[in-house]
Amino acid sequence: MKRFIVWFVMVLLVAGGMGVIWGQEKEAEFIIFHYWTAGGEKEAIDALFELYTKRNPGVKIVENPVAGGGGETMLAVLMSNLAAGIPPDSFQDHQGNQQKDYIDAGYLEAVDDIWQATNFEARINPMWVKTLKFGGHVYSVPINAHRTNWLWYNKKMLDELGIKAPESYDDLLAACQKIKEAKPEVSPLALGTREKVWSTYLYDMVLLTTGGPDFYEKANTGRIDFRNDPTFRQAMERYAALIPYIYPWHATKSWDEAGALLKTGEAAMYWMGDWILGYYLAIGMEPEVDFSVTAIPGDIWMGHADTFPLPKGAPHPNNARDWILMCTTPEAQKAFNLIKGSVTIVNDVPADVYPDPYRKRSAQDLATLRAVCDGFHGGMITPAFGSELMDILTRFLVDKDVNAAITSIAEAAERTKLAEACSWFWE
Amino acid sequence: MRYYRTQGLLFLVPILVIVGIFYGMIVWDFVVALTGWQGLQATWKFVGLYHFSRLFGLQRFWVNLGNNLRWLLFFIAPTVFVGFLLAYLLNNLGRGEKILWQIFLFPMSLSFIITGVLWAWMYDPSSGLINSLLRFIGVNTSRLGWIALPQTAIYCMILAAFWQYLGFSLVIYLGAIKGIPYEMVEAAKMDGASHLTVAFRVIFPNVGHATLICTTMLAITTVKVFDLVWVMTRGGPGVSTEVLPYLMYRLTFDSRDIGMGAATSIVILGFSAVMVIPYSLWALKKWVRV
Repeated sequence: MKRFIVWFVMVLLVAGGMGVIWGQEKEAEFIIFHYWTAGGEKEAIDALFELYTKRNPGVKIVENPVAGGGGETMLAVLMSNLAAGIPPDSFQDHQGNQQKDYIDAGYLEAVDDIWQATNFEARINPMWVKTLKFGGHVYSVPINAHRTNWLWYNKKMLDELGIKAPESYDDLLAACQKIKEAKPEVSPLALGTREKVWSTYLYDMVLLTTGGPDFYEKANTGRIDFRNDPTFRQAMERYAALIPYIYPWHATKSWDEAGALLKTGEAAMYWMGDWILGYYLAIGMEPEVDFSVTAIPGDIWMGHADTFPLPKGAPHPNNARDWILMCTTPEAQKAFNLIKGSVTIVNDVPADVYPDPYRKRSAQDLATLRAVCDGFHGGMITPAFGSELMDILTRFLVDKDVNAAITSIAEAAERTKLAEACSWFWE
Repeated sequence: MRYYRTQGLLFLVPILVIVGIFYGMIVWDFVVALTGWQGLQATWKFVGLYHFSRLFGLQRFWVNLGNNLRWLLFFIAPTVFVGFLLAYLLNNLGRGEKILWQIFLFPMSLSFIITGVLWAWMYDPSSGLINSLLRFIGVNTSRLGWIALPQTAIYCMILAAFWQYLGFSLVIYLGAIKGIPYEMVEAAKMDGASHLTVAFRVIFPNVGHATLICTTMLAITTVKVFDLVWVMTRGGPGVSTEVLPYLMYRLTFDSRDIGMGAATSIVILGFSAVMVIPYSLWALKKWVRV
């Protein structure tokens, strides 16, 4: 109850604040919600702001105008603002089902003309089109591409044990066994489930490596019979087979703390998206000396994008549209991604602009390989199903009960109407 | 007389408006719980008690409710009991009392967020203080996961809350004990009563109001405990440490299932009403009589 009151008062305050803003000059501002506040991220979005100010010298950029709007609370604040009919000019979003909720609620406006004018569709991997187009319309422009089928590893340890960087699930399992035998005190695979969502990253990996990309897309949009599908069962069994090699106290670690286990030598390998690279560099790990990375499977690019949608009734629509237009340009994409640690969505930025070999490979792969969206952040699954899935998987990580996990996943998919909610993907 | 009453009511208007909004929101919350509101946009489709039946069908809901009851059982009784014991001991201590109760009260000045972070660090199985100390004295800690193990996690969390709230019950009891006529204790001692008898036969029955305050306040704390769960485990491992307010948050803001979230909050409201209202009535009666 207290929470509701807080929201109510917050909405009132924001409404008041916005009223004051509206009362002033009409198009002199650009209001944006984002949660890039950590080191590296902040600089990346600032680089975009700088470019934007150059294009629009008179416009003042207003970031997160709600107190406490940064970080995790941003989504909740955004939700109440959109519901109250006082949207910002743009906000940080993902794609797929993460975005579809806003579209279903009628909060977003199509930006088809911007895509057409910039020939955007031809410049990006077809997967992005598939996960950003809803009923023939697009509502946002993606700014960056994070690869998530990366396996980071402690290079010294793997070299010492004579293990080649794994490139398939079987390699990975064999490597885990070898490490466990040689060094029983080391956890072969790091994981942090303090944020439960990382348990779904391993789930995506086993789906992808067991059934291939087509099966993966079907499974994550609820188009398989979870209870009886033999491939799905096999995938879950393969997940279970990895559990004994996972860092046992994963429930206490956040994603970065789990990543640090590679530095301390407590763990050997880590399944994590490319944002961990910035963290490794920040804690003084030397690329190709202390750590390296390999993609599993090597012939697929899996990941997700951050996007900027156009809200319906944005207070400064011209500024908002110019922001979105700017984000389609190679300059803006490059400026943002070089700092952020991700790669550009557009294929017309050459891969050799990146200083590290990992992003070079990611950019090359994204331009040439088959790509799929990851489950939760990529919006393949719905937030409702994803929320249940991570609870099921974190329990599965403890009890290793394949049958119970399969039944629970099937029930959650039915309860949240996963197949129905994801039908847009197959249109 | 009439003049004064109107004026009094006039002065009460601001608070009445706030209270009115407050109760209005409860009604609104209940209405939302009866609608099929899913996703971001309100859909005012009446679904009756569907959300409640769905909620009661969730295994997770019962785990959460069980955890709330566990909190009630394992948090309140020890905090009240040890708080009373400490208050009695401190009262007999003499000079050191003032310094000691400051020390015991200190954790109360921290928020649950800070307590949670501190204890989560201490409980960390690989680099935390507790396991490091145990390893130092030669204990094999490879199986001691504390908050990483579903069997022990919730008790570890309750211990952290106990640490924080012990000072609270201590101070309440200390105040109450000081209010008891000293002759009563002296008389008991003269009759040859031991410390234990004095504490539990003489003093405890006379500080009933303190017990009431403690249990009620602690009960309210347990029903709304959210921050500690969020900071220490986020309900994990699995859903083993989740409590109802946490479920409400997850359903509303992660699953975007607003109707279900509202239904959960109504259950929490009912749960706390069942606990707090009889207590308050009893307490009021007692105080009015005295």
